[in-house]
Amino acid sequence: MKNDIYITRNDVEANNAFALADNIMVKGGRTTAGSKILFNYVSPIDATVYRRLIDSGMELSGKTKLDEFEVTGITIEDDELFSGAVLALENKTCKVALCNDVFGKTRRQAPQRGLYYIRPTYGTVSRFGLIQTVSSMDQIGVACNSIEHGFEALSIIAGHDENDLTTFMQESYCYAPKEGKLKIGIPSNILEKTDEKSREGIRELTSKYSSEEFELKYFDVLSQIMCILSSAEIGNNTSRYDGVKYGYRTKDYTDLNNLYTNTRSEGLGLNMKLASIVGAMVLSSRNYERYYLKSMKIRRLIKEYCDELYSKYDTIVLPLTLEDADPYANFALYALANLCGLPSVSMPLAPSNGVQLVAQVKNENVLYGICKGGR
Amino acid sequence: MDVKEFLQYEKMVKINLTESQQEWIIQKANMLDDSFSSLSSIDTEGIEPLISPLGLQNPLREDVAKKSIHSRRNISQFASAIPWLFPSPENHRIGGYSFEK
Repeated sequence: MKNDIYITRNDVEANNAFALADNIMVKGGRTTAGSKILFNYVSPIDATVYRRLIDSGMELSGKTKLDEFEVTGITIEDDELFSGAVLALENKTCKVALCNDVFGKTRRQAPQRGLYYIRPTYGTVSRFGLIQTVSSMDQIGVACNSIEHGFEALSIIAGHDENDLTTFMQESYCYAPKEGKLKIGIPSNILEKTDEKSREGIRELTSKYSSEEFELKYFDVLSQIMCILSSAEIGNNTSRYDGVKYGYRTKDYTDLNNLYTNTRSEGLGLNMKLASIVGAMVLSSRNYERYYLKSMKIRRLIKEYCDELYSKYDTIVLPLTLEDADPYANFALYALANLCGLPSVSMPLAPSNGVQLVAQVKNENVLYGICKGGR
Repeated sequence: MDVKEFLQYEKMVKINLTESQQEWIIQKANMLDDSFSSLSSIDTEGIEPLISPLGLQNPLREDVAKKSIHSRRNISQFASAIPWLFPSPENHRIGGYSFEK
């Protein structure tokens, strides 16, 4: 085992191989989602993304480790562990690595190692075979060391899937860098909160394009909305893990209630327990309207605001970290793409740790164009 | 969130926590709860909730939050059916058969 990634085959040519995060299913193999509660779960199906890459002639190099169900960023210690997808690419074991980056860990870490992470528009890539974390925000993305490789892989995996009815009806996607005049929006209220290197990197990138500063609305509540909606969905999605049909089962039980409680207590990690408790809290009768329903309404306001924003700009640029090291505060940088289903690319950019570009729905070509021209 | 409320949530999500885990989670949950209060400053009068970024229409009725009845109490309200069968509501049809009192 090399550097926290699983290698299933040593005879794979890395130039033609892909790695999958361990929450993407491969039939007959273990898919654990990084959790003890699924430690022995053998997948009965192939994920659509896996099947499409194999059919295109690529090979699976292995499965990469991940935080439990990709739930991360609750404590600062989480952030010190590198994403398995990033490490797999750094170790040159594969050409691209697929993972579902909900909370921004891979988006933040990939550029630190000179890599890109492409998170496509919600609904372009099938989620069939992906173990759910936050259903309305889950989207399999591609980590790569070259933007061309990344979009090449994306064009293979993107497209309508009958097994996932939340995919758009478009059968296939062809990505090409968009040329011509592009306008970049720079949210000044966020730039104030990041470090000088990030500001410098962003200024240098945007100097090559037409750009304009503006104040990003709702930024102060993005972390809260993200936390409320994600914890509610995580609580819901993990309620199925009860030790009855599959996965870890406690040895210490006397009745059904014990079985459920002890299995979940022993099988789930602390972050998942926190997410479940917060999920129960926001969905309780006392808090449902003021938190969960309110968040969904604000989500609509944010979506409408983004539609208006993207009528003026082709893309907006965001830093990858704020000066405030609190991971909860940094959620806000990744929440926009998650909440509105927007495509984003995080790219390395000296002298900063990298930047994130977020475009309108189905406008990955804009991001491709800037990545090719921006370095 | 006080300890009593916390214990209710713990029971609801079917998890048992150690004392140190409880303390940590209560602390984190209270910090989050405090930060959520900033949502009240945004006016959402007349705005429809957005469930998914795809703008899917919810075909089901809107959720109405209310206190639930414990399953044992729910079952005890119905007339007991044939003893060797699970108690079911009066005249509940299963496979075309009606179980009467």
